[in-house]
Amino acid sequence: MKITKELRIFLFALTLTAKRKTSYFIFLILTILVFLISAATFITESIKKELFITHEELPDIVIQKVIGGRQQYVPYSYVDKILDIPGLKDITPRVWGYYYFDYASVNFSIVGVDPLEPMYKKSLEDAFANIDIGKLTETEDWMILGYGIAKLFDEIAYRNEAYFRKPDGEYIKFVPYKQLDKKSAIFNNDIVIISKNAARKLLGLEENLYTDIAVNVYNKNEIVTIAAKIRDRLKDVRTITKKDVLNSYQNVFSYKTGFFIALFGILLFTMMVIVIDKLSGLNESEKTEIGVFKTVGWTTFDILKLKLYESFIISFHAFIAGILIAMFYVFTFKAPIFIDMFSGYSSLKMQYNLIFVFNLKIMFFIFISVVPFYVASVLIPSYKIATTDTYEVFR
Amino acid sequence: MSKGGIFVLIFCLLLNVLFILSLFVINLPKFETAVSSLKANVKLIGLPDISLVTEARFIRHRSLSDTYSIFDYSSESREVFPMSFVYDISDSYMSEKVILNENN
Repeated sequence: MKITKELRIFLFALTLTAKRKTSYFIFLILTILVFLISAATFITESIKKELFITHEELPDIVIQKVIGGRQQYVPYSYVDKILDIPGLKDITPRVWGYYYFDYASVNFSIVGVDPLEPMYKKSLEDAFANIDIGKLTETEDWMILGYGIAKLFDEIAYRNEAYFRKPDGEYIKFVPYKQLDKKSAIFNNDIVIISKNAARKLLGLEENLYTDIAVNVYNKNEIVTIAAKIRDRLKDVRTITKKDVLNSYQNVFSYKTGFFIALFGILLFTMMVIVIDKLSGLNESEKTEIGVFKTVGWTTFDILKLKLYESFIISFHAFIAGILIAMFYVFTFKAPIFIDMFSGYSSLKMQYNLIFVFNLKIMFFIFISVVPFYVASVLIPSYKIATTDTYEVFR
Repeated sequence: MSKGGIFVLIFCLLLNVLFILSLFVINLPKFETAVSSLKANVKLIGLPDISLVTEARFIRHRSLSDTYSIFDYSSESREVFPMSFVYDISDSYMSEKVILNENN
C-alpha cells in the first residue's frame, strides 16, 4: 500500500505528539476539566430524568387546606363536597407526615396506607412480587421500610421491632415487614409505610382528619378545570396539580444548574488562559521546528495540517477520555464524594441507582469549548510563524 | 513512525473503541426494569420529590410545601443543622459513630 503524503503528515504528527512533554500535560488538564463537568452533568441529568419519568405516577391533583399560609388537616366532609364533580376517577384522603428521629437527627416520611383500598392494594402488589395483603389487614403494627431507614435500623439494632414516639409521649411498636426496592432508594430512602390507623396514632391525627386529599381524573386535559372547580367549592384549599409539581422540579434544577454553570465557567476560564498563553507566541524550539520544516521544503499548508492533526489528537482524545472516565465514575462506581455535593449533609446515606442519560446538547457545548478552542490556539500562532520568512525565524 | 507515535495511535484508537462500546453497554442493562421499579414505588408512596436530603423536613416533598416554609420553623432550627449552628448534634447517633471511628 502506498503511503500518501497526507498519511505521512498524520503519522508524523503522532510521533511529534508522543515526543512533546507538553502534550501529555495538556491532555491531563483537559481530561480532568471535561471529567468534572461531564460527571456533574451526568448526575443532574440522571436525577432529572428519574423525576420526570416518575411524575406520571403521582396523583393528578393534591388538595391541601391552607389557613394563614399554613397547611392544616383536611376534614373528611371535604370529600363529600367534591364528590359530584364530573370527571373524577377516584378521591383518596391520605394520612402522611414527618417523624423526627432524634437519635440519628433524621426526618422520616411516614406514609399511611390502607391495604384494602383498591388503589393501595394494587400498588402494593405492583411494588412487591409476593405480598400477603391478608396478613397486613390482620394487624396494625407492620411497617414497610425504605432502603436508608432499613439500613439505619439494622445499625442501631432495631431489627425485629422499632419504637416510635407518639405526640403524647407514649411509644408505639412496629415490626418490619418488608423493605422497599433498593434500586428506587432515591425516592424511598426515608419512607416508612405503615397502616393508616397506625399512622393516625403516630402523627396524632384525630378521627375524620386527613393530611391531604389525592384526586385522579379520567381526562388528563381536564385537570386544570377540575382543580378550578375544586377551589371554587372548597374556599380554603390549595390545589397542586401534576404540572405544578413538574414546575417545582424545574425550579430546583434551575438552581442546581447554577453549580454546573460555575463549573463551566472554570472550563472556559482555563481554556482562555491556554489560548492567551499560546497566542502570545510559540516558544523558541517550536519556532525553530517550523523553520526547519520550511527549509526542507514543507509548504505553509503542510505545516498547518501537521499542527491541526497534532492539536486535534490531543484535545479530542482528552474530551473522549474525560467523558469516558465520568461515565464509569458516575454509573459504575456511583460517583463517590461527588454525589455528596448534591445530597448535602444527611445521616441516611443512600445507594444510588442512576439511570444512564446522555445529554447531547451539553456534551456538544463541552466539545465546542474544548476542542475548537484548543485547535485554534495552536493553529493561529503557527500560521503566523509559518508565513514569516525562514531567515527571520532562525535569526 | 517512532515507538511513541505507535503508542499514541494505539492509545487513541483504544480510547475511541472503548467510548463507543461503553455508550452501548451502559445504555443497555435493565433500563426498563429500573424505570418500572421506580414507577411502582412512586405510585405506592404517592408523594413527589427525591429523598436526597433528610435532615430538614421542608426539603422533602418541597413541591407540596411552600417555597418559603424554611422561615416558618423555630429559631432553633435544629432540623436545619447543616445550615445553622445554633444547636450542635453531639448527642446524636452520627457523631457517636464518628467518635467511635476516630478511636478505632
